[in-house]
Amino acid sequence: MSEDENPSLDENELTEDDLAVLRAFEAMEDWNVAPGPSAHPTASSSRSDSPAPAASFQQVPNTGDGFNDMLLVFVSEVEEDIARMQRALNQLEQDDHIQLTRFVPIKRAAHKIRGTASAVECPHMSTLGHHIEVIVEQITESVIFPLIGVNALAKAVQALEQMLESLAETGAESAAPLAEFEAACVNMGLDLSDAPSEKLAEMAAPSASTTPQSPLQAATTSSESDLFAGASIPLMRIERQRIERLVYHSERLTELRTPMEIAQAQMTTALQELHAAQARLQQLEPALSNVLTAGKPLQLMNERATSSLIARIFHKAEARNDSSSSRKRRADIPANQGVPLGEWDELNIERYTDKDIMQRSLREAVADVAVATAHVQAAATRLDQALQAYTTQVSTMRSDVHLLRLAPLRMLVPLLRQAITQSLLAQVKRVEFEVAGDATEVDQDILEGLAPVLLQLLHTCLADADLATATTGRDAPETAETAYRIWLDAREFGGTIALEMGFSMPVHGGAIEAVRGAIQNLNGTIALQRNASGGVSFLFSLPRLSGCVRGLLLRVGEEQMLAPHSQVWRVSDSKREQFDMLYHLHDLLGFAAPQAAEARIRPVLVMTQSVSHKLIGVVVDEVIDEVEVVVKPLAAHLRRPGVSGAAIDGRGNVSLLIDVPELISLYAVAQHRVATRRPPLDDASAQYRAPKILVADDSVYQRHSVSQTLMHANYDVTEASDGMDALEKLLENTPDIFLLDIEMPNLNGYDLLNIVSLYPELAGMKIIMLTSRKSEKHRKRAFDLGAYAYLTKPCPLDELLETVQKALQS
Amino acid sequence: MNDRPNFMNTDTSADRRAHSMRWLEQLSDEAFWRLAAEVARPRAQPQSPQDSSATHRNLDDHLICQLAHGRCVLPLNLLREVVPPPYHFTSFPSAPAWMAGVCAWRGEIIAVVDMDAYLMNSTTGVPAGRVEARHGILLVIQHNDCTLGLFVATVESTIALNREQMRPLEQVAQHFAHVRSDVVTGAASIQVAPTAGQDQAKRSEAEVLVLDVPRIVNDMVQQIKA
Repeated sequence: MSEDENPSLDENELTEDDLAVLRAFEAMEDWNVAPGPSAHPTASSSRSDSPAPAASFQQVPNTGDGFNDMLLVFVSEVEEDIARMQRALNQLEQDDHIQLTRFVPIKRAAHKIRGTASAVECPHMSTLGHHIEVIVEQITESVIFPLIGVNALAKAVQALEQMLESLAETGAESAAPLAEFEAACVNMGLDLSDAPSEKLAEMAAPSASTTPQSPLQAATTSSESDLFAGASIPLMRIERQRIERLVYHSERLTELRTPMEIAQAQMTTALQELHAAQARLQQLEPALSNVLTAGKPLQLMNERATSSLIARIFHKAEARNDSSSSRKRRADIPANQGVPLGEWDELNIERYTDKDIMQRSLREAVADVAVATAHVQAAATRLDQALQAYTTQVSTMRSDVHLLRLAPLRMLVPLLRQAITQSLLAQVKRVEFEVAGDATEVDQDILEGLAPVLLQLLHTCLADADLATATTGRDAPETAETAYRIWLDAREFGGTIALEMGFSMPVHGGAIEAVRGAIQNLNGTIALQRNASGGVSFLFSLPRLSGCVRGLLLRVGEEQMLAPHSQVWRVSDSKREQFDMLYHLHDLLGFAAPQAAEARIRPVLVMTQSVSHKLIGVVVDEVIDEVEVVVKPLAAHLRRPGVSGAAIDGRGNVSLLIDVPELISLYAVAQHRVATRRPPLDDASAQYRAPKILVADDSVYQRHSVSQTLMHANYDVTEASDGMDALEKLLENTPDIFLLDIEMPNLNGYDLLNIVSLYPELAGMKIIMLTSRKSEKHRKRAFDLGAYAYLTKPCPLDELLETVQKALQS
Repeated sequence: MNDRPNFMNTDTSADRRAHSMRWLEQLSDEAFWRLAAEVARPRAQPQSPQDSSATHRNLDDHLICQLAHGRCVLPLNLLREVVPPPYHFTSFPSAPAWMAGVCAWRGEIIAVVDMDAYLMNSTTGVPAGRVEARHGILLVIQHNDCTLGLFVATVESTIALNREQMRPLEQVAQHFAHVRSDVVTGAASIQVAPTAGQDQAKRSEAEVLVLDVPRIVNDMVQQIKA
């Protein structure tokens, strides 16, 4: 391999080990490997005609320097791992009591040896690595006494040293040390044969093996930090002044009851009056119609009128109808003259005609209705005022109750400081913990949920002290006096809390996988970035209040949706700026597009940039309002990616709380699948580009060996030495295929699978797992998280190349 | 609170009364008055005097629902409420074609299924957003802690059915072509009230589908799961 063929490779940046590997691979140029396709890798099916070797240095022809260099790389890596295990064992011997976290680097080193030795076809060494993992597992699960386990581990390390020595001297491993070790284990009563080896690989939940009790529980066993023992502790720390405010406002709320009851009673009375007046009008209406239209005599109702005045009028009118003398007297009055209504005299009722009486009655009824209406109006106004006061008071109460629920983040600090102090890293290196913004207040439910998350993060990240001490940050030159820094920075904006937990050094992988579910349960998000110190920063975004989400109420067609504030950076429109990716929310939700496109410019939600380096926008029909809602969880069968919950408004309407980045990611993947199903463009016209592959593995040997194989097959290969490095390279130059190991520093394989789903620009990339984890559980987990294929180490070359080709063609 | 109490039972123990009261409190006004009318009505006469006791033991109360494709009955003991309109259904992403959306019911968010579309394996015609009475009636059913809304054209009366009255669906296939047979217990002939325009004095006989609601709930839940 010359520099011309791989111009991105700068030898000045390579370590001694890397150069040794390169020299070894230069020697491989003369291998009798079937040549790769001349132009397109998919045409290389002929390669599978001859069985391809696994990526093993023992298969490398012993051609002198190349072989020796490969051997040196392997031996050197195993020596480092053995030294790491010995350091941990020495610390265990010095400790007053056994700390289970001490076993983490031993297990990790053993796992690495197991995988690498298997890849280079050193089965005895690989088996020994496996045995060490089993012993660690049995210690942490209290299957065996720790002291016996430590003794066995010491013997195992001794056996490893012997095997390595033999390998270095003769070029072949010796089986004797393994046999002796197994015999010693039998004498010690250890059963390694039926050990659940798959339990070892609990990378998905590192706490399960490394911390038998949850970090929160562990932390709360100490007397000084029992603030967050979960729901079991019924006490809350509440500021006295806030309690007094709550009591005062609740009293005011109680006082409002009386005026509200009075207003309600007045309203009821007024309504009764209104109904009575209405009934009278209804009674009068047909009689009046008869009199006025047909000239028929007045047919008075038999029902007794509710008003005494009206009853009297009816009674007298009835009497008049039966009396001819009355009729005669009424006849004396001119028919069309009538009596002026203003001069109505009840004592001279006989002077009035039927029409006069009817008219008078009607006017009285109308007046009654008018009075009743005025009363109702007044009562309604008073009720409205009382309700407004009530609503204001309830709102104040609600806000006070929210205040009661708040507690400063600094309550977490002692727990975190304790976890850091007790970490393995702090035993071997000075670690400074810096806190900023710890006065920021958060709902105590959130705080209780956050405590185990941050503790888990610390436990996972600091589980391997050797990792931090063996490698330094990119930009931070390491000196003996340099202290490692861990910081917690909290800020509040718009009802959302932004937290940064930063590490100035490389950390153990697996943190994202371990805490992502818990963060989602808190309606929060997690992202990460490399910080200025060259380490990794975990960025959390959480609602300030539990159950409440502040967000934007959006309209999509006829539907209303809620998007959390934390996911939306700002609102813009497509005319104002150019977006790298622009989606329509109705597409993301799978809803039908509006039939008649509205002419006006639609708002665009600009997604938070921490999720992606690209400017991503989501078009909605309308941003209705900014709201704070209580979110309800969905029933199990309604839960799905992209929908976090739902809120019910005052009218009983349901608005779904959407997870926009997740919707984008799902949509991008689906779109990519559709695109790949389309027939390819004219091959002749399509310009060929070598498919890009990123290989992420923390083992130098594994990484280079796989890369070399792929480069020989004419792929454009890039390498990443850890999870964070891989993520940066993914975003910088997205490959077609991502070959991913599970166990890596900073971010492990599962972490990356989790994170990749947050980046829509990575949706088209195929991820092939290449790991020594062989269990069905790990395989299923990887597929659940979106892996395309799952290969186990040592992987035969033809299987690797065939899988890559299939992935490219799918 | 799972089973509907037997209001014809003369047992007046305190527990039974309390159970009955709780059950009644959960009913909507409409369901309550329908039940009241049913209780006040003389009970359906058994088919023959000699098997009256056996028939009573096997009687299950069912609610008759009208669908676009015919009538169906579902057991009353799984019915929680007949919700009066109007409703507001919210479209739900990645939902089966027969799902009308979700709605709020007693502070809970439940899936609403268009029964016509579900039984015919077709796409729902129920509009999202505000849904009026003319579109149909929402029935809330509960089985194994799973609550679902079933949207039917309308509801009629209740009826007591026993096993002997049910026949295999194949025998009445001509009435229910294209209906999913895997979620139907069978069919039964019942006396139904005349519809508008018919002689109101005459009750006609109609074939109804007897729905296997537990199976339907399980099937719907499985299909709704993304």
